[in-house]
Amino acid sequence: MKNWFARIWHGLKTTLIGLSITVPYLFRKPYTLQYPEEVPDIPETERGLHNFEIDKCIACYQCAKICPVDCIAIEDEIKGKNAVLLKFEIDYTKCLFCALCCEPCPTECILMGPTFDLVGYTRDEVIIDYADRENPRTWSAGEQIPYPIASFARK
Amino acid sequence: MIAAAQPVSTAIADFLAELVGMPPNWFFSAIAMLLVATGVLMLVVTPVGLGGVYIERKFAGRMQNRRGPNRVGPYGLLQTLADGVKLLAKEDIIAPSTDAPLFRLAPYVVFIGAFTGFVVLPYAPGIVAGPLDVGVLLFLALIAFETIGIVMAGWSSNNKWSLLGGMREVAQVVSYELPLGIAAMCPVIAAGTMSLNGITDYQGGGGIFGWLILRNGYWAVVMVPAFLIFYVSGLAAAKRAPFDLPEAESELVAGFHTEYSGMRFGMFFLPEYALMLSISGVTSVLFLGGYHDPFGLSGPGGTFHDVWWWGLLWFFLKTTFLFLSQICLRWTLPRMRIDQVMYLCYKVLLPASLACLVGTAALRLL
Repeated sequence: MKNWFARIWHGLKTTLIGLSITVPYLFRKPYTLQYPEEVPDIPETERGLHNFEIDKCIACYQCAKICPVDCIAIEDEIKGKNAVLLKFEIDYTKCLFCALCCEPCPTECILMGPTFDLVGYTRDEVIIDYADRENPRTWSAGEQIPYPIASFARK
Repeated sequence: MIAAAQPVSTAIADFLAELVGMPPNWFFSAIAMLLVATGVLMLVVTPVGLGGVYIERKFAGRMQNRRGPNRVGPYGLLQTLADGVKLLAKEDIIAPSTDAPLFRLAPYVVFIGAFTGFVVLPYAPGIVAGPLDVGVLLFLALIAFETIGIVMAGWSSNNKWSLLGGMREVAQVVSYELPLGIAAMCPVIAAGTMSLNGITDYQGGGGIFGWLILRNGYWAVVMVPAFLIFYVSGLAAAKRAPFDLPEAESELVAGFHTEYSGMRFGMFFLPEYALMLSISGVTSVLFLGGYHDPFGLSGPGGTFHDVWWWGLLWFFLKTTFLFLSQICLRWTLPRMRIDQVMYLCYKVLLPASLACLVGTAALRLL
């Protein structure tokens, strides 16, 4: 009989303990980020879509050579001592965001940016030509986020 | 509401008869009654079902640090409506191996059983659809009636998950009818009537100490345990967690409604919330004073005596509180095993409810 009451009391008590844990969650702020409206907090070293500075590029092909998946396609034209870029396409269906292209670049013109979302209805829409001067692709409105190894190389 | 509905249906019958150009007879009365009943049902089903589902999902979200539905309409209020339209538009699948007549009939039985419970509830002074002398009895009978529909669904689906769900429902609800009924007898004995209106009137005056759960202070000795027993048994009768064994989505796919799709599934889904709300309403009538407020303003001679909106407000507040507590319990407690459910019913709730019954009878004699 004593055990019977003890079990009932235990059941009631543990239910109340459980409720005291769960009910306060009703009054907490939800953790959900409303993604398309709210931008998530991206770390500085995020390896997202590339930031490319067309004026710095000397068309040395280092990035295209080192790319493990051959996703960078470059075409250029020699004008005197300088090379003029005609095409600098990165195929984001292939790119694996390894940031190997950023390391050999002698002018630091290609860096990994903070943008992580790129969508399109066809595969061609996610092949981005960074040498297109009429339709420049700059992903981040603010300043470029330095890639740590590249900035180390500069010093 | 009957008092209000009868002139309306008579007026509609007269209008229809005039429209056709015949003297009003039983035929027009029947059509008018059907129209009024449909209208009332729509007025009850829409807010109860849709609001209940919305509140449940919003609560579930907030308890899990999510936001819950917030895309369709302001604050996601139209989400349930969108889901309802989706269910209506879905294909109505009836597997060839089912017992088709029973399979088709089952959702309606459940639907009728759950929504008829609102008939006997006194919402406010003068607002009750059916002021029956045996309201408590009818309500208990309707809970058992709903079970028949669920067994029909489980059996006719010709599916082992459905059958197991149906069997569990019978075992559970038939067992919990006993403590539910016996706990409901405590207020009935105390008030000396089975009418929900009569029980509510008995609790008027004296504020919170007029309510049966705390009546004159000393009634709490039997009424607080009886309230807890009624509440727990009500949870089990409404198949709410931790007693949701008939559905048990992690073991039985979806229990008795595994084979149902489209609006037939909706006909199982909405009654769950209707039953939760009507059980909360009956609990608040039996133990928490129904439409009487805790300050004694609605009792005889009070400021708000027989003021319908004041009564409606307090009935709504109590019922909503009980409804929300059921949701909180769902997101707190894990599902019980069937043997634990049976243990709780036959070894804990049943003896305790009998003790409460004897105690109530003794207090009544004092």
